[in-house]
Amino acid sequence: MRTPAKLLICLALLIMLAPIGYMFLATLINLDTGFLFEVITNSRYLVLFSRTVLIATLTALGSIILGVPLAFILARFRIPFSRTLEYLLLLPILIPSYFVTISLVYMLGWNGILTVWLQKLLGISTLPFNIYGVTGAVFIMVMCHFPFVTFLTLAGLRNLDSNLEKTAWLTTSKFRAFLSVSLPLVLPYILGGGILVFVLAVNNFDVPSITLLDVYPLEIFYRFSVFFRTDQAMILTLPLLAITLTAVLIWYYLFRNRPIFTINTRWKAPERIPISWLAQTLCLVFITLIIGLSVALPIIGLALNINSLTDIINTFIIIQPHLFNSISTTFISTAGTLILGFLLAYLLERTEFRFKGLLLWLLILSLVIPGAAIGLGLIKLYNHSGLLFIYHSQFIISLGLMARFVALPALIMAGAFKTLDPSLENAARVAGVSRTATLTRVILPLLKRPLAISAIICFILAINELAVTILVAPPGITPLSVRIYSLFHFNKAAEVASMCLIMAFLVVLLYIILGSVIKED
Amino acid sequence: MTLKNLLFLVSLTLLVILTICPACSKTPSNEVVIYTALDEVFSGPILKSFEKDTGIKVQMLTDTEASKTVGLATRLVAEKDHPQADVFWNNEIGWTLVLKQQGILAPFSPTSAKDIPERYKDPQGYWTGFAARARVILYNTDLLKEAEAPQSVLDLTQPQYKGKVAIARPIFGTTLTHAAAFFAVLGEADAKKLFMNLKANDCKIASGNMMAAKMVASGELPLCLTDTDDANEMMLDKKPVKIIYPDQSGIGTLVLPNSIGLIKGGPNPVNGKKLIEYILSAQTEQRLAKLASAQMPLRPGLEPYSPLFDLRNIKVMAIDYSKLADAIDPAKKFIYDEFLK
Repeated sequence: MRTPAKLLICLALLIMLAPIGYMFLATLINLDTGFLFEVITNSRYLVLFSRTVLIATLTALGSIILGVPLAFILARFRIPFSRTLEYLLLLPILIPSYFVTISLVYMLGWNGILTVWLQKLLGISTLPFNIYGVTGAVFIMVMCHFPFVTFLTLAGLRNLDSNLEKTAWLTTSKFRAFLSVSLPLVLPYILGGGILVFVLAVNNFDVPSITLLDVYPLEIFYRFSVFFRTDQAMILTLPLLAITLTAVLIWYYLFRNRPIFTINTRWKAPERIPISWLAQTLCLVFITLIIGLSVALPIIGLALNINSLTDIINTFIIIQPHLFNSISTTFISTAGTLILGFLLAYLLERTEFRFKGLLLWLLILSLVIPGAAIGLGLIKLYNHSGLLFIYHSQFIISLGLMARFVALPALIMAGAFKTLDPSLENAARVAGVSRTATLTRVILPLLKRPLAISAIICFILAINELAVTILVAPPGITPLSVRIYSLFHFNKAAEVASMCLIMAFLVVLLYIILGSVIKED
Repeated sequence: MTLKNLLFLVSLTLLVILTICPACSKTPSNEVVIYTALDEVFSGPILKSFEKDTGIKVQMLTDTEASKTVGLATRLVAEKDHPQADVFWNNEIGWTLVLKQQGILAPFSPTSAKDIPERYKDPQGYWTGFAARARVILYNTDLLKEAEAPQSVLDLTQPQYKGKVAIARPIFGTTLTHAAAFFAVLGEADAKKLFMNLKANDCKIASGNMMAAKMVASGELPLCLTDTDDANEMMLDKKPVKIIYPDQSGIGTLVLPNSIGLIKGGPNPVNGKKLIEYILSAQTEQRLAKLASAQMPLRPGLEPYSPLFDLRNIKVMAIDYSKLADAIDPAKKFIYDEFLK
């Protein structure tokens, strides 16, 4: 890639990361050393941090315990409806964690429908399970995040060379061969899934903010919102930043030379083995139970708050302007994030330049900065006479969303580039095909799948984002995520449930459309 | 086409989006920008009426109930050097006092507020109060007889109410203002004692006043401290609950008016003043009084939602709002460091 192109990409990245840089610089210039000392010495922060790490660790472990067997069943056993079940298991990722939390609070809260029913059934006044405590938070987060482990493990299993296992069969049993050959090869994928879940859980704000559980990300929010101390909030982010950076780097190095997406393998993945009807039934019961808990239960929880279809129709009519704003903003940000993410991945994987390491660190850093910090940075940078045309438009929200999420498609696409044989591009170039044609006719078609997956992830995250959106949404524009969050606290259960279902429907629709595009390919 | 050209095209597209988006959302110059913490359901119709009556386009920015005005207040502070709002309409008074201290508000004494009692106005004109809510004790009539119900907030620390009281997390919204009011009226030492006694009495913390009211309405707990609008919602839902205006034989019940102020250096100060005049009119206060939120009119001549929400029947806590403003920070710090520890 030529230098001007590199510069242009770096400039675009700089624009996106500028708010984050601004907030860090402002904090460093006026460093509150007293507060820094307090963070180190006050046991309050240690307790909160430990609790947050404990929740994240338990969530990661829970996701592994649930996600890995699912992946093995789907990848290695011949069971009916496996393709459909695989699609259904993706749904928990598509439904945002705060929808699930709201729904489970409606179901299992102090006076939730299920709580009251269980209390009557069991004849007890207090259930042993509490959705508001650490156990509740872990349960909700596991239900939301376990598919990451499942699908990464699936990717690992499908990228295995079946010949390795078959060779081992010559000297040992199939089970032993699996344990000694296949499992070690899949282990990095399992660990990668666990780490990904850990990172998502350690930074999760939605679940504890709804279930009132004091955790470290909430403490950061209080510094912003209760004390107006942006600088102290930035200092508070440092321990979270350190642990997340460590986890993300481990993840990055685990997958440095391992493909997540199978694009052009030279080997054949192990075939699925037939199992007895009893084993098939047991597998189906297990998968159905998981889908029931992670997908059906939240949807039923929401649906029970809707009195009739009219509720949904009325809500749809009321939210139409909010919906249009949210969708248009989300589309702009998703498109921008994808384009820049793709180009950054190309820079990282296909070119050599001096500040490559720095670029990678910046990307990872952008993943863990609190949304409120990005929002405040955007206000400070764009609320000036020359830039008011951006500040007063929806584009300011899109910019914030791009800054928050650009690293995700960049890292996913970088992983995909690793699996793409560079000789294909070289062959095209040698044959006289231009760089652009190589990009559009060779690279892009091969990377359709990871691109579509990145698009879905960015769209879901963007349409549900609250922290940046609430701070920078221009007057006259109320994004849907802000409206839902507000109405939940106003106890408007029917409207909230209707909106959640409409949003979930939109996301699933996008998933089906993009899925069919990939399938056609 | 070379890659360079493609990148050029991408940049051009981004530029077009940058240009088109603001153009799409471009607003007429005859406008006013209001940041309001009152929910859109209640504020929206009033602002629409203003648009219809004056022809001035209103650009509204609302907050989430969850962040209790904090999102707007944070934004107003962040925008201090280049204000983008003309008017701040708060659904209570606490953050308005903080914003006055932060130098965000400008003095303005609207003529339409002349008949609002002076005690609900800032002496320098930085804010004006109207349409109030009160901090009340809500109790479940199935779980507690009238004679057993507490009559003072101080009673909630008594052993017979141990583990039976819910309050919203007192670092936001009206609960924080209520805490600061105790700091201002009882003095710091007694207020701290009250909160530590509440904590020792196993007081439950809810995510908000509505949640606290819901806990009582559903029988989860017999008692809570909440706002009149949340209590009225429960009564409208035919839940077995009753309101007690606390401390009627003592310091009185805290009444928290909506408050409105002009933003210093806002882009449309003339229209901002017109909007403030409109919102502070007796008609608007009457409209707010008749909504389900049962806002209590401060003007003596207006009709309340029902006799239960008539300020004339209540002994109101005598509070100096400047002292309340000074008490917010120490109250917040104490509650954060000690009460919620």
